[in-house]
Amino acid sequence: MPLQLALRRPPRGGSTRLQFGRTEVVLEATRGGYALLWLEGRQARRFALGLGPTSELSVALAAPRLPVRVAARDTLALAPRARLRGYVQVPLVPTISCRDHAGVHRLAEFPPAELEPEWDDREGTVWRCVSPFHVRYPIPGSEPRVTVAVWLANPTETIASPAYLPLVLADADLRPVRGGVGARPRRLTWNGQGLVATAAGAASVTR
Amino acid sequence: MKAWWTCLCLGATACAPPTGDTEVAAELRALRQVLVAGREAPARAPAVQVGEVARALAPMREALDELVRNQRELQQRQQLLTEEMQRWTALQLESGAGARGDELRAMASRLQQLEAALAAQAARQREVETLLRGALDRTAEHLDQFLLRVGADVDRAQATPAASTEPAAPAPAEPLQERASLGGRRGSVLAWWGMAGLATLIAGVLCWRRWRLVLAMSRPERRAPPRPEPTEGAADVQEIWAAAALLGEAVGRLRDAQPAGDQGGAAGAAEPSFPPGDEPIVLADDLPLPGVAPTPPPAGAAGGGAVAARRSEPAAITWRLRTGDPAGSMQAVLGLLQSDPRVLRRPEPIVRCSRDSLEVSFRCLPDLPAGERSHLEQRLRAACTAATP
Repeated sequence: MPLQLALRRPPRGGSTRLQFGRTEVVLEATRGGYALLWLEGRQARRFALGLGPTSELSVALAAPRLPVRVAARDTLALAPRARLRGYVQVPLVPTISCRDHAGVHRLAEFPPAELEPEWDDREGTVWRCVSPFHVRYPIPGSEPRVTVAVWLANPTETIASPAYLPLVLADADLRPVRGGVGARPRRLTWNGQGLVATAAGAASVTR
Repeated sequence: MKAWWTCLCLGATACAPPTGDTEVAAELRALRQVLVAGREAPARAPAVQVGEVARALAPMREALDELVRNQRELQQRQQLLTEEMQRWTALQLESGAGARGDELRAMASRLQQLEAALAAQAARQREVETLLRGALDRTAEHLDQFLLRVGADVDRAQATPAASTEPAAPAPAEPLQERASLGGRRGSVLAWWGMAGLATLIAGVLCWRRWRLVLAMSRPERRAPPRPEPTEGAADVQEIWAAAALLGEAVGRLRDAQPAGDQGGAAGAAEPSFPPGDEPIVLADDLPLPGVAPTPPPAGAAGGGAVAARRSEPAAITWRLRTGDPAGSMQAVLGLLQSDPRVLRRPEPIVRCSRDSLEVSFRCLPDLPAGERSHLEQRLRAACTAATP
């Protein structure tokens, strides 16, 4: 699954089509500008675009810009001084970007319905999504999702049962891996109230 | 018993030339033999013959059992090999970057194990082939001995009634024709047993040829010669040949890609430095090593302005939407607000219903462009319009 696809500017009267997953993008050259049609299942959105002479469009699968709270569909429980490894999946955000001499700009984002924004008094605005706790990679599926390997550790003397896994993703983390999209693994440690991201050395728990 | 002897005699007389005197003499002779045989030794010969047949066919039964068992094992191995090839092909297609030396080494060692297993299977198949050939030879010898014994019994049975009836009743006037009739009857019995043995031999040879064909197809060192013409049941063999071709191709690619995987990237170099108990899982890893400073948070997600924007509570947006059916519109608007990814789920959107309008209050994502906000408002108004009768 490519992370970025170039959307060529069609000649006058022509159109360019792109399809990835169940989403289809159509760029039409109209009189005075361009029309962008975004089709995703039953939903469609239409944009009227004005592009500069050197602007280049592309469709990219971007990481969610806000922190993500991944709620595991399976109940997680870690015994004292135990650890757990697995994979979770986070939906990617299809994004239309425009590149020109001034840099790269995001024209439009289409966050999937699986990502739900919410406000948290401590963290601010975050995304929330649900994912099964996988134990094997690659994970079959055609939806654009990034798979993150997670190491969970419980260095305390109590049972850890986290409600969600806090993740912060960036576009630079994403890379195609074996037919899917992967990100660098995350190491999360239970601190008594929740999971916090830690460095590799600090999270090691002797067995 | 009587019926069996009667059939034998009738069959024997059927082989003689059908003349009237010959037929009468044969009938008398047959009746006499039936009476004498029924008086002297009832039901001796059939028991012996059934036992003899079972004993003669015992090696063939063992060989056929062994053949069936080996065919079942071979089928299971074919299935396992096909699945293994599919997994290897999938892995090979995605190992183009050559950055996973450990996987390549594991695949190479697994390949060697497979080759050793194939060699062992070929040796075992050769043993089975030798066993089958010996069983067929033994079966043929037993059948020969059995047929000779049956011929001798028939001679004795024919000689005994002739000797017992000769003093009481003189021989018929045509001794030459009667002898010819007796010879034809004995030939008929021998022909019957010969046909049974021949059928058994043909069945055995057919099974042996089929087993040899399967052996030839599954033997790895015989891949280079031209393949035998397709026969019935060769589809399975074609499938395993295709799997073997894939295996060869994967081996070649693996051997070509092994140096590149060993040269490796950062993931391969960092692999031995995992903390104890953290053996790497399939996904390529670039965790910071112990003692190295943790990776700074991504700039896109935690830039100064972005962090400030997302940590400041977004202001509530309140719109008043005019509608003709406030109750119906409220459900549509609530459903839309709860499914749009630009609207925060927490705090929950609030919809108040008045006489001819709805008052909607919700919060949006930080940094939401004004165009997106306007699009959301248009959707809400369209929902109100659609719900109005």
